[in-house]
Amino acid sequence: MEETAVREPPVAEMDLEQRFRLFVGSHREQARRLAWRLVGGDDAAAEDVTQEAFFKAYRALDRFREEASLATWFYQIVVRQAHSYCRWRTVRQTWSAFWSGRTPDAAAPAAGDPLLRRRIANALAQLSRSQKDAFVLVHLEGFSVREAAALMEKPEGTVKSHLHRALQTLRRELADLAEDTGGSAT
Amino acid sequence: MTRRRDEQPQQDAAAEQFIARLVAHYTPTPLTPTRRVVLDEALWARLQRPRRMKLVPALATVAVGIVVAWLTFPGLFTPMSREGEPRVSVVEAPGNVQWEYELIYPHEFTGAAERDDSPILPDDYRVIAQVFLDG
Repeated sequence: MEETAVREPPVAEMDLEQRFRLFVGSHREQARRLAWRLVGGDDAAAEDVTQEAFFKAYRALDRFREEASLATWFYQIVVRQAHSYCRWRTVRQTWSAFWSGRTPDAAAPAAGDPLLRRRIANALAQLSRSQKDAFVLVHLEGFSVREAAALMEKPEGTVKSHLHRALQTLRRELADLAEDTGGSAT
Repeated sequence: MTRRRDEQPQQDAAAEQFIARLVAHYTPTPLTPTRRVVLDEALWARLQRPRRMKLVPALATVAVGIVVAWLTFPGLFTPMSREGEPRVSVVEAPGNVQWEYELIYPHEFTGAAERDDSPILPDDYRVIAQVFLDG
């Protein structure tokens, strides 16, 4: 019987573009989720950050030294891009507030409980940048402490310290969520 | 990037429950297949764009900057000599000036007395006459 299905070539035989397409396909969802959590639950911003991170990664592939895994290197770009986005958003909000006299709404609507999501985003925004990165990477995204440390370019002990402080702050800020065992806190 | 429990920091049960609740409530809705295709196409279209095109706005900005600087501070673009004076280009060699001077006023170098032919000849003809007749 003649085989009609088109098979993908093995990864070793793929050219750069094919391999990068594969990489995008397998990491797009996690990169978007990480960006979404870092930028405070904004769908459009998360997509922008992810696209920009893929673009920068592709352009800088020739500078990738394999000191870390490609995925760690890429998620480092995502985190930096999210920071960059947040910085510019702060500038834009400051200008907007200056000219219009009111503070614009940052977070976009999404499925689920929007009020609770907003509260979590606000509580995360109370953390320092390193605490937030560590908490999102390890507790929300499931990176190991070692991976998060490599990604944040900080010692593992520092990351653990950030995690501890971040958890303390969040449990205090979201006390009802921490105490409520029914999971319906608002 | 998979979660490895042995490398995760140990938490008490309440903390684990709190984190699990955060994860459940603070998660984006997954991309729809259509949206994923749109984003992929946009990304590949952008990646296929020649890199040189990115330089065009930068080069244009630099060019405009140079023109503005030239118009605003023209002194910056004038070559200066070591003493700080603007360089003056020489149009004629001094030897040529001397030669023309001798041609027009030959009596100053030959010692001949200047003849007054002004009522008869115009100035130009008088000079020619001095050169060809007196010399």
